[in-house]
Amino acid sequence: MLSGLAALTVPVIIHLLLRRKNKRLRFSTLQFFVKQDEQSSRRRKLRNWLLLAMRLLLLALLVTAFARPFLPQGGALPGARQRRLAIFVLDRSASMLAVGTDGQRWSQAKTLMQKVLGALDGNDRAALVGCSSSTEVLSGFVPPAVLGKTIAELQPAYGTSSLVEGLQQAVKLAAAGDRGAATTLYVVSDMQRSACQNVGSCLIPQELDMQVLSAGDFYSPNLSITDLQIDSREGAQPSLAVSSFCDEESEGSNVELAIDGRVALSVPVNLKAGAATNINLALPVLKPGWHEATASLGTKDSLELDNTRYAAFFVPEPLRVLIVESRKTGRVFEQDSFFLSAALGPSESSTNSVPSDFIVNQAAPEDLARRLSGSGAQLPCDIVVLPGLKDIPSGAGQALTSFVQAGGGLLLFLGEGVSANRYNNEFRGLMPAQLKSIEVAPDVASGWRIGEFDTNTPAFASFLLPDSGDLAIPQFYKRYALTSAEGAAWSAYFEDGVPLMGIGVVGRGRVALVNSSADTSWNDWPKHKTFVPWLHGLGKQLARGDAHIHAREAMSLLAEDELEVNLGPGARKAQFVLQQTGGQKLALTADDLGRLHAPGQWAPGFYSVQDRDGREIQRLAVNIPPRESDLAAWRPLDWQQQLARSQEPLRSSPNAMLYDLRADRKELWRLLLLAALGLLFLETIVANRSSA
Amino acid sequence: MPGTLNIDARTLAAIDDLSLVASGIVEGFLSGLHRSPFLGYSTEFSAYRAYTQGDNLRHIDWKVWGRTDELYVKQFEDNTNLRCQIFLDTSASMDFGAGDANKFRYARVLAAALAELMVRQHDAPGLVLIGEEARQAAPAQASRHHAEEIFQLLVQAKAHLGTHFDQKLFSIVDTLARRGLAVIISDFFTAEASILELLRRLHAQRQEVIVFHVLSAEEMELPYEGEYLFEDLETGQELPVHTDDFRQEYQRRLGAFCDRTKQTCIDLEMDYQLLRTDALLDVALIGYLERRSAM
Repeated sequence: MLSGLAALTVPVIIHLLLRRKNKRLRFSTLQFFVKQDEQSSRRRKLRNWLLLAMRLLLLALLVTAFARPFLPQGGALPGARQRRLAIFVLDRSASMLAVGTDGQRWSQAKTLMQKVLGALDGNDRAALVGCSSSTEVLSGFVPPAVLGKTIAELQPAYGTSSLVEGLQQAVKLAAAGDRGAATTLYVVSDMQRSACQNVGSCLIPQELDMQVLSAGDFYSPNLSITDLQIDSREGAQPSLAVSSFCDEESEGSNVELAIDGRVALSVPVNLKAGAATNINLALPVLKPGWHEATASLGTKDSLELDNTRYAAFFVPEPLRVLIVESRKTGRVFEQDSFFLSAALGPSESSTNSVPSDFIVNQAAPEDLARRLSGSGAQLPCDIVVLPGLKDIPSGAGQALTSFVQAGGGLLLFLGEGVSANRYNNEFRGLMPAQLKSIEVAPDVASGWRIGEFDTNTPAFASFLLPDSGDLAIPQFYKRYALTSAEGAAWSAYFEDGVPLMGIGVVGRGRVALVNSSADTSWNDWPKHKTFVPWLHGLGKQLARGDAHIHAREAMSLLAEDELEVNLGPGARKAQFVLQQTGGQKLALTADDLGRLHAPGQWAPGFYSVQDRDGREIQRLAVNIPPRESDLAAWRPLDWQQQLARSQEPLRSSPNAMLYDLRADRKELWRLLLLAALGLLFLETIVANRSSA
Repeated sequence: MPGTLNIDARTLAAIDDLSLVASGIVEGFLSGLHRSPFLGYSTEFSAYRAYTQGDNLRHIDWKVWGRTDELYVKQFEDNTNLRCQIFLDTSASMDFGAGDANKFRYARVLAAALAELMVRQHDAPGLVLIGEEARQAAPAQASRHHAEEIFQLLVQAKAHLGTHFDQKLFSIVDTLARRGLAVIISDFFTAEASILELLRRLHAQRQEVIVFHVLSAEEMELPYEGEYLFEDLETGQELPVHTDDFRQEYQRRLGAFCDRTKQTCIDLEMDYQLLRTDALLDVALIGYLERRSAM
């Protein structure tokens, strides 16, 4: 091919042959031509030589390109073994901690990878892509020995994984790698079905070899506690869920619930193959503060990590309720406040109540003002309940107004003997309406029913739950006609549109007016199951407003979730510490909005957020994702058949555009043609340029 | 220049008989003058005068009347006789230009036409040939026969050898004792100092001078493209020239040369006419008549 360089003589011969003698022209005089043209002639000669050189070089580049010269690749000598690249896509999900016939899957996986690394030599390279809640390149291309050390120190994560994302990352790595090398993708996984979804969406170039290193058994029976709910919401039943991922019936398993380390419940569990069950929990009475609930499944199965589930919850301080009782009688059932006290008081075994959130005291009307005065900065109680007073002592209205404005809650009921004028005068500024006259239901037998009610308010929020009771059942026989105050907010109405209940904000406190009696004189509501949860919700709303919905809610995270705790603007830029129970500490700083953030990858267990002074602000529980409990797996061959292979080559790097990269060499013909093209362009410019 | 004066010297120059050519040119010129708005100008000719009542009918030039339908009266030769020397450059550089645009052919026809016009004006044309060696080819005489002699000399003249405005030429100039008219027809491709010397000597000899600077269109425009080997017609010197590269500079230099020559003439109160060989001769002839009338 290089003999084509003899063609270089062609332009020279053409130049010599065609070099014409200048045409002769007899001119009258040369006196105007001397000197200047000599300079011009020198410039032209130089340009002509340059053009000749460029054309010769152009021909030489073309001839050389056809000869296809090459450079050896990667420093390897011609004839040396082709370099190998290994890219591991490693499943780091929680299921890799399951134990099978050959031991723990994670250990198996590491052993398999080390075996592959051992078969590589020093010239080869290996990379590692880790698949957990996020997919990341844990190591670029490094010598096998270096990656071996990295793998030895690697720990699993506790979240889920997506092998498709791992493969996509691996393909990108392969495209950026040495294209002259033989590249193999190794998928190291237990082939759990939940990690192998959408595998057809990833196109693997045909030129990439792929192998599956399966760690784990195809069939791994497993039982797990998939849910644990200790809910502080009114009416919610604490429960836990146990699921079976076995092909056979499970018998003889036991579930224990421990609260703060003390066993509160132990029940046997029998599950059919693939079944799940819910177990309701009855919690003991607990002191106010943070508590930890741990549900454990006493069984030996493939994955023990999911046999324990954690939940953290907060028991608030009970609200102090002061009920004004005007009847001095020893028979509590004769008191006006009997139903209120019974509903708000502690209850041990009621199926529709939780451990009491209220401490109830009584006071006579004449003692009200005194009870509400004094006590310094702290309010003497959280809520005052007036079950429809006949007589309002002097000073009571003023005392109640001051109490509410200071942040207290006031619940006003109406009833027989209530003087509308007196109420309107004494509680002016507190009540959301003016009382007019008593109305009697036209149909005394059925009475009025509750029509609309606002489930966005805590008083009625519990009625969103299933089986929480029907508010349309209670009957009301008497009520007051009301003139609503300007701006009053009513959260419940009778079916004919007359207001039943409204709450207003006065100063820092709240006032609720119920357009009925607290006892059964005007209605039968206390006899129905909806009375207690409604009253509890209303009480909390009066005491804490809507804030109680967000206050001290239990936080439960999955191992792969990002932590975000909203502590409010008051915590802006403050320093906190996140600590696992018995584990390491992590320093955190709240952002401008008082929120704490921390990335995922948590180990299961309890964590505590503390301020600089060591005060606990939040407790949270971390569990593995429930879908990791299902260990059903793909057979490697079946899974590989689902992979989509692409005929397109790996994306070309700029290097590949210039050089024809082969296994052992870097061919230069493209580069030479590119240079010839550039030279042709340049020659055109020089040839057409006319000198001054 | 009046558009009615349409004398195509190139066409006429194709005819070897210069006398016929010159006659044709002059007659055409004069007839054109008759029809031109410059007619009033022509009545001030010293040789012709429009007939006025009372003039002797014997003095009427009937030939002119036959051609022009106008009556002109001839003046006596003795009153209007003027010695006019025509200096014609016969150097090799004048033999340039293709075909009818050849400078020497053009200059020769011009000289012949001027001689014819001078004779008709009853002036005394003479001829001096400038070349390698200047010589008084024909002394100034006012006769028809003499004009024929000039024509013959012009036909025989050849453009060859070099251009020398030398002492021989100056000596001829010095012999011009009487006041007269000197017409120089040349391309002036010689040393500028010698041009100046010639003109100064003519001025010193009380000669009214008309300079006809003759150049061809090729000399002025250099229309050639590409690279040539130029050969000097006079010296034989050769020089490769890339005309595309050099055209602009060459034209600048030539223009500067012409301007200097013109300025020299202006400074010496002489008439200067740049004539392209593709231009009409009437410009030259009018130039002669203007000068003649001013004397």
